[in-house]
Amino acid sequence: MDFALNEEQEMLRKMSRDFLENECPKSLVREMEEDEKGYSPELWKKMAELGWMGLVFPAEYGGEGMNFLDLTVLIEELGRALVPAPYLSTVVYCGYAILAAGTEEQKKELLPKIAKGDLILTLALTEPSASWEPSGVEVKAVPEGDDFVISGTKLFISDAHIADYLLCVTRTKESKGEDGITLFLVDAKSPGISLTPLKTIASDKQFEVVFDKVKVPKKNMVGELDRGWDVIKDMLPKATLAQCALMVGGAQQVLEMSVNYAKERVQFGRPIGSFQAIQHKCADMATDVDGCRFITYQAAWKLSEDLPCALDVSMAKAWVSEAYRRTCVEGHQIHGGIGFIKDHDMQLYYRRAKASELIFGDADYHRELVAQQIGL
Amino acid sequence: MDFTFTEEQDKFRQEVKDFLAKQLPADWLTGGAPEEETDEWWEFTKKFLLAMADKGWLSLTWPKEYGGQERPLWEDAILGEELAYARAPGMDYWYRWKMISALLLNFGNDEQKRKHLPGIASGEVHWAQGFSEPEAGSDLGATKVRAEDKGDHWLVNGQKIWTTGAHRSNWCFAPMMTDPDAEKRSRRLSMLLIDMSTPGITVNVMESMEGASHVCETFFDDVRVPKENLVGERGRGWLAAMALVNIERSGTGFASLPQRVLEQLVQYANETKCNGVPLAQDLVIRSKLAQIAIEIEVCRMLAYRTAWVQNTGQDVTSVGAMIKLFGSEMMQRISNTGLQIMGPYGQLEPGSKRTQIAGLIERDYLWNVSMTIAGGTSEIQRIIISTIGLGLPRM
Ligand SMILES: Cc1cc2nc3c(=O)[nH]c(=O)nc-3n(C[C@H](O)[C@H](O)[C@H](O)COP(=O)(O)OP(=O)(O)OC[C@H]3O[C@@H](n4cnc5c(N)ncnc54)[C@H](O)[C@@H]3O)c2cc1C
Repeated sequence: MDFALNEEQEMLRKMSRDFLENECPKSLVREMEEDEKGYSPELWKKMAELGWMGLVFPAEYGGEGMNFLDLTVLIEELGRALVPAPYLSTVVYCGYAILAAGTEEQKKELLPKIAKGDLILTLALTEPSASWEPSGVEVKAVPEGDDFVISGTKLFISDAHIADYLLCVTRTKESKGEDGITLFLVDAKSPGISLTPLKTIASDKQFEVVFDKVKVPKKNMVGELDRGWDVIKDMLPKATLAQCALMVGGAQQVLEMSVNYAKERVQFGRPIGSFQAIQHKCADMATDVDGCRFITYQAAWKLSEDLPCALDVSMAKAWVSEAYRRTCVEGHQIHGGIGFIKDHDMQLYYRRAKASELIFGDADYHRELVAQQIGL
Repeated sequence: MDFTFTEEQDKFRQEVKDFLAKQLPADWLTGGAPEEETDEWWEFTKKFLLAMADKGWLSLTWPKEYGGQERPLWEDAILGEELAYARAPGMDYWYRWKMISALLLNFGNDEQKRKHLPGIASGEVHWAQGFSEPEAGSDLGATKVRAEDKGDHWLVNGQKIWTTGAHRSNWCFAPMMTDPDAEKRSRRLSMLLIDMSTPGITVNVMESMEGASHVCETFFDDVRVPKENLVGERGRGWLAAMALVNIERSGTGFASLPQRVLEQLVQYANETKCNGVPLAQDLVIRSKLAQIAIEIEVCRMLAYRTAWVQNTGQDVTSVGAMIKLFGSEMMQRISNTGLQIMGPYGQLEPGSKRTQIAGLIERDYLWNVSMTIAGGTSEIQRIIISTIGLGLPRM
């Protein structure tokens, strides 16, 4: 047992925290909520220069060759700083999928570009049914000569407006199950794609993406025909844990912000942090944050070590989703009225906590997955 | 990071499991255990502790020069985990074992170590923890039991309370007021070792809610305690007491006993039908049991983290308070959920006709009320986390 990060990870943590404190101030986070693109290409480039986009890709594809646990450390910092960037979409959801299932040609073509920050990708998985299961995949892809033709509607697709490619999860065979699902990298500029922005609680950029007979060449298939769910199945735990890591970072920041405020804010002639009602909230928040951190890192460590981790991932997502929300609620209470004001940072975290809770399955969804794995 | 145990540690865990399988009857968790705190139970517990001593497990981490095994602290954590998982008898005696040995090893002089450690290691001498008093519970600094310096001895007068197992104990370690005039309250106390057979000591056993009587009132009436029974420096009893409560709070058993409860509840839900359908198919019950499993995993992480902090020689005050707080409150939630899942069967006591899971969870439900009080209340743990851990100003 060892609960400490190694030296390299500590360095990554420190370096990324320092960098983001300078390069991603909350003013940028706020600006990007209003911005049409929703991210800063300049910051994105700098992140790429630090090697973050290719962090987990092997050196031969322009990457740093680090593992998922290392990535978790970085994503925690992104969550702490609320970095507005298509990082998870590009690197975790799509980068990992291509790395795991892409042809050598696809990997050589795409991964170095991702690593350089020249390519933005996003995953088009969910549909109006809002399901994370294979049965939710109904958008059809029909073969036609050297192409497939995709028709249907994808929903809640992050960063679709800035993506160069959409990794689209399609039905290629009549079925409700895992069989008959195929992934395609669809050029986002293909004719027949139309985007409608959604207005979200976290002011992030999500879209309804309608595919109207969109042609995609066969060679853009990622993974095997009809076996695309294998790729998603491999990627989902990483995506889910990446959300957990974002939440851990956010929760840690909310805790620190609240504790600092409790030390400074004076009422009745003394710091509010000397009132037990406030102290007890802080203690509960600290306990929640530590619980979130270790249950997430244990799962991430197992994933990195190639150990079975499905149960750990679901436990982490179920716990962290609720504990982060609790932490934000307590944080707001400690801040009193000021935290409710848009100029204050608390609300930035509160809104994102709910978004992270709802994506890739909320606590109820993952509790059912846990139930299935503990013998029920 | 590494979230596994080493091969050697796994081997040790297996050894403990094998030992427990041999020492405890097969029906230990299905009604075969003697009613707690009865004479039959105490006889069994004593035998069990002797067997533990035989293994060297009552002196597992001590230095070799005091007859210890000098094993890494992690093995102690593993041992604690397995004992709790098996609901081994005398767990709370075992906790006091850890406290008294830590007290002697860290604060005792050579003579005290030579005199007392062998009896502790051999499982023959039983110790009570005499911290609390009627007027000094959470506020340990308010300790009033007086130990007057009479030149060649201390003259002790006053009352302790909640002295678990005092009626079965040979010795007691207790902070007492030796220096009432010291300016700082914490400097008024000193830690004394008291032979429970000394004339003037009376023990009264109180019956607790769950029926097993083992919390005691201990009265001292002109009790003469030899001068050499002072452990550590005079006026430093508070410091020693604080070091010991950290040990009391930092157990790994918080996650492993509930793990066993969870396994029993899962089995119960699979085997029990309501209206012809197994409880395990009920969505609410599935969700509740899954939540228990998740909380146990979080608890295990906090417990292992505490053990890790201990192993690396850092201060455990705040992280120990955290596992104590989370673990004890979780145990209350789990036994509550357990009884709800069992419906009217949940109310049946051990020994009743038609009782399920041997009535263990009904017993837990009552016993766990004390979990958030004994060893420092939840409120006190939250104060420790927020002031010592997070640096918030004290009142
Ligand atoms: C089953 C059992 C076994 C025990 N075994 C032992 C033993 O072997 N040896 C031993 O020495 N003691 C033992 N104890 C005693 C235990 O340590 C005390 O009960 C505990 O420390 C609380 O003290 P108290 O009961 O006097 O409650 P009090 O201290 O009077 O507390 C009452 C309530 O007030 C709250 N409170 C107190 N102070 C504060 C504060 N500053 N801020 C906010 N809230 C506060 C408490 O949290 C609690 O809710 C045992 C207790 C139990 C129940």
